[in-house]
Amino acid sequence: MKSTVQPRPDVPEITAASRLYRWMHHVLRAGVTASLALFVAGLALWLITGAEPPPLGASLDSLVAGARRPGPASLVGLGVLVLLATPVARVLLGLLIFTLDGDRRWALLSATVLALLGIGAAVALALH
Amino acid sequence: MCYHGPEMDWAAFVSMAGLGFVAGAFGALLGIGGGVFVVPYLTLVLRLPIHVAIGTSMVTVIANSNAAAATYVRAGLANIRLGMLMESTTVAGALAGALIAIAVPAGVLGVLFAAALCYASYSMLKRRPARQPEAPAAPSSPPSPLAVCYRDLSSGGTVTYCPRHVRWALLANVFTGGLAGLLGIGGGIVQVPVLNLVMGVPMKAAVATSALVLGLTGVTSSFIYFAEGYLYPLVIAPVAVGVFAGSRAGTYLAQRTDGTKLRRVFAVVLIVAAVPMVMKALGLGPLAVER
Repeated sequence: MKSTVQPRPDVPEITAASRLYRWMHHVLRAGVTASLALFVAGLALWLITGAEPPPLGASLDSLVAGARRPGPASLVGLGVLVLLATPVARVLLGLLIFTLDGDRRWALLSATVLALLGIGAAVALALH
Repeated sequence: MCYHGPEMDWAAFVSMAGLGFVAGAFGALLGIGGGVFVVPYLTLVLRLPIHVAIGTSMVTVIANSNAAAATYVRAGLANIRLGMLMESTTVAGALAGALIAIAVPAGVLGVLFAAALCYASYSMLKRRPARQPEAPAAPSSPPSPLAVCYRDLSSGGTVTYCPRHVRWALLANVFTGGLAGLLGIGGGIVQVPVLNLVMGVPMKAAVATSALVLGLTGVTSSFIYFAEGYLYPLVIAPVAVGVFAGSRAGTYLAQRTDGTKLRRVFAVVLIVAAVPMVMKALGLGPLAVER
């Protein structure tokens, strides 16, 4: 099936060249690299030091608490936190770029998505 | 909740990394999170409780999304604005789904998960070729913010499209998010067909955009599971490492390959994963749920 169509004058050329796409790629790549490095370091330390594995069923606040104590568990916990933060950072970046571009509708949508995430976090905290 | 999991050694880590690689590769290739592989393995092989398996799987879905989306965004395949629009309803659905899931018995979750796998398999087998993009609008039409133009590496040309039936798709996405929160998957098994068949988004762009959205869906669902303590870092880490590697392979292939044959193979794999899950949930055979 031929997938090529004629260029449309009402569509911007190669969308990926825009600032939004370039910076969003950087944020995602940075998040992946950081969390991967933390996971590998944590796992390697676990295997090398023979540390006692954590109990099953750790929660988010135990991860945060564990991240403050040096050791393999803290590295892995930090990796999980970076992993979770990366999509949120992506939306924050979108909000920033849309605001700088004066694109109010999309800035508002980004803010709405962040608000929904905040509600989710609040509900989770209330349940805990 | 506080109990200890399986013995962790080099062999266990390598096997989980291998699981992650498979989940990451197929996930990136098909725009799904890979949870359809991870949850059955964690419950059937590692014998983790299903709520813990689902919570852990959510994190690997996020890992897959981050890794795949990084490549797809750079290639222009992922439609960022469309993804953000879909996230507004998917996130709400995921929150509701996760809240329901913590109150649902393990056996019911297992059956629902198996049903989702069967639906995904049917969808892959019945999938029609991606519809042609709409005819170009008149030059005087105002540019749509959702319209995208990208280079297709397999054909060598550029592809331009503008999604349609956006409102219907947003409604369907609430269900997608609910499914994700309930079953610990990314929701891509519903989202990709919605993007491609309902909105007319070319298949590769549908896969890429779904991969982008999955991350935020996973984060939303994760809040509830983590609040309840359904998280095992020692399993997450090796699986996520494998996911990152597999995702690189999956995005490379997705940009250069026609996915029709692969979808058929994947459909068979989903059925194979669904059968033991159903047996386990219904208390049949050697994998019966321990009550």
